[in-house]
Amino acid sequence: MRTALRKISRVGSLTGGTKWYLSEDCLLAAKRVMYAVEYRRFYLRDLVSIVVWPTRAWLWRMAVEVVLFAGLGAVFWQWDSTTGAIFVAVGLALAAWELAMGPTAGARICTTGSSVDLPLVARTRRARKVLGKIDAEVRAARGVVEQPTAPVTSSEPEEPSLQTNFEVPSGTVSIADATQTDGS
Amino acid sequence: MSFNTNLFTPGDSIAANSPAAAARRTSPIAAGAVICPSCNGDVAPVESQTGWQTCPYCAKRLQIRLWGAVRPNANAAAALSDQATCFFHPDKAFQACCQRCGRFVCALCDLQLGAEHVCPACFERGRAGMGGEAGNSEWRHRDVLYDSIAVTIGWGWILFWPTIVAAIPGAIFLHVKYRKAPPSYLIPRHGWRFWMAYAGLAWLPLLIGSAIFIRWIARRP
Repeated sequence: MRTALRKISRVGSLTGGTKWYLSEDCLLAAKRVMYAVEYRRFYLRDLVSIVVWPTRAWLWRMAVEVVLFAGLGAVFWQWDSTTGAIFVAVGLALAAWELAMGPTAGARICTTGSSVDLPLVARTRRARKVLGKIDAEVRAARGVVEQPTAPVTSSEPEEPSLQTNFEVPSGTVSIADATQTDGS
Repeated sequence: MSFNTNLFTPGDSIAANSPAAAARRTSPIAAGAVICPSCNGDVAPVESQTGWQTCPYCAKRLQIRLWGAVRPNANAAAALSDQATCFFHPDKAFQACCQRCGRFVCALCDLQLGAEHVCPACFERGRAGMGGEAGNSEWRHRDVLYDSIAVTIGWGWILFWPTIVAAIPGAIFLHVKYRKAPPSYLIPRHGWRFWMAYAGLAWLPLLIGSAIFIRWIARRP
């Protein structure tokens, strides 16, 4: 029987891109390059952490778009000012779009056995929402009851509160600790 | 047709000899912390309204979710003299029965895929066989998008029209041979792309035929 997969994110690229799906037991990355799709599963019980950070790709992209269209606009302006103005307007519109969408994002997914850099979200503004979905599914998969959140400021480790047959190795935080960190 | 390329290239993973890995070896990660992707420093997640925080070492903005590591209880018990034992570890006690081959496996060898228990040998066999069975979504790790190839063939001939001679049989071949592939992909797709390929092959002849027909109609007395 096929596990239900629901799409949570999509990050495009020139040759394809990566789509992310979430099921009840795993986070699935479907990375497409041309006509081949490879799947990579991150089982929720193995997930340790996900870190998202802003990258500068959007600034480069915006600069290239502005320079390209402004250049084309300047060239066409010599023959026809209307055509030149259209190119300049398109360039400005693309720059405004990039500004409105915000910074691009990188992500690192750490499991108990590996650490992988894959684009989880295209823009940082989506990170909180996507991470929230993953967080909820991880907690559901590990069978942890929701607990009130509080900042992690205490240096004293708390007792693990797992209700499953999993063991938490010493030196790692429990899920209860982790729920205190996510701000949700 | 197959593509033997690993799309998740080693560059995706943090290589064992990378500076990040070297930094990890020299300074073990603190409990309840993650590694900053910029400076490799240990960053403890903190709660904030926006979800964002800054690395204390490099001031990089980060959004962190930390769950901590858990591992299944895989303490395989030693078998008693009158107890069934694992096929792969004769000294370990029977834990489950592989639902593919029927071998007895211990807690170490028991791989749970959804509701199914399989042994490592069956798991490897399933992966090697590409997990082609629609029901084995757990084993499936790669798909080739034949319907998208057909679309490219069907419309790509416009760039160099003589290739239409090969494009027509190519699109038909792909449609006939792989017509059942799109719904069986791990992420199911619809088969409309095959018909889009035919549209790409047929639009020019239809356009020319229509023009000739209209002209013929117009010339009729």
